[in-house]
Amino acid sequence: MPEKEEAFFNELVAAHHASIYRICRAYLYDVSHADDLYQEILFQIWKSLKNFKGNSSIGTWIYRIAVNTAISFNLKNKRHQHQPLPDLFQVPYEETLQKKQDEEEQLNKLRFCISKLETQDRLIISLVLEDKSYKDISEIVGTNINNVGVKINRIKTRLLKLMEQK
Amino acid sequence: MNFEDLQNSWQRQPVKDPGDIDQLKLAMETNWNKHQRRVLRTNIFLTLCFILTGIGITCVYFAYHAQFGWAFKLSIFFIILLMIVYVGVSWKSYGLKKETLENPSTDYISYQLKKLHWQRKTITTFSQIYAFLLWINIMCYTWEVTARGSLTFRFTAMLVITVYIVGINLWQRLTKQKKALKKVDHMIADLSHLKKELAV
Repeated sequence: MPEKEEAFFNELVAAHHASIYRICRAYLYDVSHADDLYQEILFQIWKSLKNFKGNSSIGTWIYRIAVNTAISFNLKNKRHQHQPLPDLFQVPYEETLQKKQDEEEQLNKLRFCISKLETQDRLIISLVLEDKSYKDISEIVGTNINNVGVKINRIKTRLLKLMEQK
Repeated sequence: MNFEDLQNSWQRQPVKDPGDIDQLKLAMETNWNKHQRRVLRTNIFLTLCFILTGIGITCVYFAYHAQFGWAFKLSIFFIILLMIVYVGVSWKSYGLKKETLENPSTDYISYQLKKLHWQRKTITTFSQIYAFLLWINIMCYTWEVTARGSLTFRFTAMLVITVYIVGINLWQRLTKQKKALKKVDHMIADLSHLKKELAV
């Protein structure tokens, strides 16, 4: 990779790696699989860098690669889906409920609830959690903006409902 | 609890360090890439085998074409033609085009589905047509080259070749092709569902 391209790649990674990592965590519940996917997405961005022609914003371009790589990754590794219920949420003991107030517990529960969503809903909610606009999401996914809006509202409702379940 | 709280909590989560580019290179060994390399290796092997077979058949043609009639010549011509077409079909299965990862997901999925449908067609239709046409041509060839033998010898030779081709074909259908078809169908079903749900 030429020096200029490498510097550009490093810039992109520095600016977007956190979002990409969180997308992986939303898409795959298991942290080790999410790590693998994260590496794969960064690699695919690196590999596709020469194809970037500036037709869309660099953010949209990166998210498209991230989402499409996640689709392929998931397809080839079906065992990563539908992880069993973590013990923590199967038996909500009093002590566990107390611990839930801790931020990490809430995050764990959020990750778990996201993992209960359908594949396509996990993709979309990961972009919503990254504060992407409806327009950006419709461009990334390649669907109508109105449909995206309706879908997002439905997924949000479902996610909040799952979060409220004990 | 509202969605904004969840969003804030989500964005505050600790994230992994991206590492360096050399580490990313090591991450190349994904299943997808492995799959593509496997198809590439198979196609190269198939092409080499067909080239060698083609050379062998051509040598046979030049050595004996004066002794035999039109059935001999036509069968050799069509066997070579069949091999060329089959190699072409196999190479089309290999994703020579770029992965189109930077396209919108629905377009990306459509492209992947197109490739998978082609793979399916190769397994279910093209390989069967190939086996059938190959059998016809070999029968023509055998009919011609055994013309000087007895009728029993001629039909025994044809029967042995038929049993061999049918046997190989059946074995492949029941083992390798069945397994490959199951995998491809599974991927097609998953991607179709995903595409439908994303588009709605």
